[in-house]
Amino acid sequence: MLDPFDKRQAEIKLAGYFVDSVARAFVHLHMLGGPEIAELCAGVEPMGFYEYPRFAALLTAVEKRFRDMEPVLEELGVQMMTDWYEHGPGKQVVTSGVGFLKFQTGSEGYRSVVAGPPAAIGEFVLESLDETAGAARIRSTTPFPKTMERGILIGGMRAPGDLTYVDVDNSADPFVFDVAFR
Amino acid sequence: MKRISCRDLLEGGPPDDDAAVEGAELTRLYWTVKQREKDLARRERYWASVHDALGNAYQELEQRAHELQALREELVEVNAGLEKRVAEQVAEIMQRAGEIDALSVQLKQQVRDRSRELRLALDRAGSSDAEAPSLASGAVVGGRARIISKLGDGAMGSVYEAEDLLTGRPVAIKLLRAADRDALRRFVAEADAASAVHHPAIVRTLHVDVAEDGTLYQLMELVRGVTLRRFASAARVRIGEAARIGASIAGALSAAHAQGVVHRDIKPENVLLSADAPGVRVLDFGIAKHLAAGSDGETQRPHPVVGTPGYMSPDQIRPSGATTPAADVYSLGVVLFELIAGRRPFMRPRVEDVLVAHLYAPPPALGGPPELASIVGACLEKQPSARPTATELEARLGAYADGVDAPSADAIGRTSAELVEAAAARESGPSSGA
Repeated sequence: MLDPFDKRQAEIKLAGYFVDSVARAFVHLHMLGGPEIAELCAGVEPMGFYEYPRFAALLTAVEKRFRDMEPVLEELGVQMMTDWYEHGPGKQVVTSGVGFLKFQTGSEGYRSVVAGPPAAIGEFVLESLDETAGAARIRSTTPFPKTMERGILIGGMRAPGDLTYVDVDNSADPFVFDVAFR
Repeated sequence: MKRISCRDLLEGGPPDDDAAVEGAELTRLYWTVKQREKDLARRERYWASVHDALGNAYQELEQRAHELQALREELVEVNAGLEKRVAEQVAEIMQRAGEIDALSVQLKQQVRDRSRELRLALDRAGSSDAEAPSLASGAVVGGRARIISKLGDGAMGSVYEAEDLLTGRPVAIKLLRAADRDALRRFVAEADAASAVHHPAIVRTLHVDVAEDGTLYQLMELVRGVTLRRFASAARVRIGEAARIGASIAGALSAAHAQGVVHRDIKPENVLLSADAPGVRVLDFGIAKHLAAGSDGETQRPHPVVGTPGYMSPDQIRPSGATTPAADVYSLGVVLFELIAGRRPFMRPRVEDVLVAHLYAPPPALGGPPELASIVGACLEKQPSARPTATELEARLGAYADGVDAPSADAIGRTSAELVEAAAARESGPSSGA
């Protein structure tokens, strides 16, 4: 979960389709009902950008029901990317797991859904990639929940279906994701 | 040895005994299984969290159910308490009702006792031909009033200014000069009638009682002013003033009639103009008749002729006639006629001729504004049913007075005293409502 006292949140805006995909994932996971989503996402247009509270409201609506939110956030990330690939523009954008990795860490990925001053939105940087060894390292300084980002990486890399195995580990340092894939 | 792929192994049926996964397929199988382990572990964490949340929700629901049950029990208890309290209050109300019934019986008995005392006083006074006692200043009557000075003699007895010992306020007290039993009866009837009517333009009776020596007395509010008779004698009454005064008298009569009381002796002497609001006051219900009374047969028996001949209605004169509120309207019509014309409609040397004229003679033409003459003419109709009611008369006279910008009754009351004092300094000091 985002640190509610992180002042950066006030400076960032999120793409409408990102907010919408979060909402859809929660519905898919049966964590929120249609009427709740309708209320929380009223007026959200896919191409618009919205203040952070739109996203925070969605998380808060779910968080109050769970004592341990981490597995939920991870599953949310996986589900978001599955929906994005199966029902959204994912198939047109990426064709392989590694392709997703490059896309997400490039200018069209993370930067396309988050707007704001660079210091506020942070970075999602591919520090290393060894396709032969099936290893990559990503450093994240975004204000988003790291567990959710881990789920996004798992779901996004597995969605195209070309990889047999994807594991993302940030247990040593939450901001550093070590990706193993085959 | 039959080589099969990873997919065959995982998605197909059970492998044959000689089936084998080798090389790259074996590697794929390894990672696939490993992935499934990872997925399984992730899903397990997720479902554990969901399970925990559901457990929490269930626990919360159970807690709510307990709270609701507790609330329900509390409500049942409160309801039972309420029912008990309502039952207690109903019982208390019933008890109070019983007490009120008992009190009512007691009060009725007291009223009967008081009536008997009054009758005895009437009998004593009626048989003695006694004159009303002449009282000196300082004398106390019935332990209730201290005499200050004599104001004059009314139709039924002497009237004094006195101090009400109960309130310390100045009052008028009328002491009965009982010549006969009928006079006594009228005195009591006046008190009854006057006390039944509450209207600003009617002089209020405060108390009626029998003194220790058997003298009947009536305490009334003290109203300082001059009678309409004195006012009319001292100054020419303007048309608008006459209409305004008439409207005020009609208003007072309307209130009395609504209470079933007929004055039966409306005349200028019984109308007081006072500097105090409402300016015009009707007094002396000395021969008033209470329409609802008469269960004892006394007040409804064939009536003696009562009233003042010059103002008496045909209905009062006829031996078999019933005196109704219309009689007061007729008398008021005579008063208005006199105020406007300066003379009564029927003036004859002998009283009998005056009464006959009331019965049969048409009233002479009244000069002045035709509209007002028409109103007065309607009041003087021989048939009671042809006359306006006091309420209608009040409205018509009031509208006329407004139409000619007549001064208010208050203003007339204030002016009257000044005019009378200026015109006739011979009489000074207070007049009273008796």
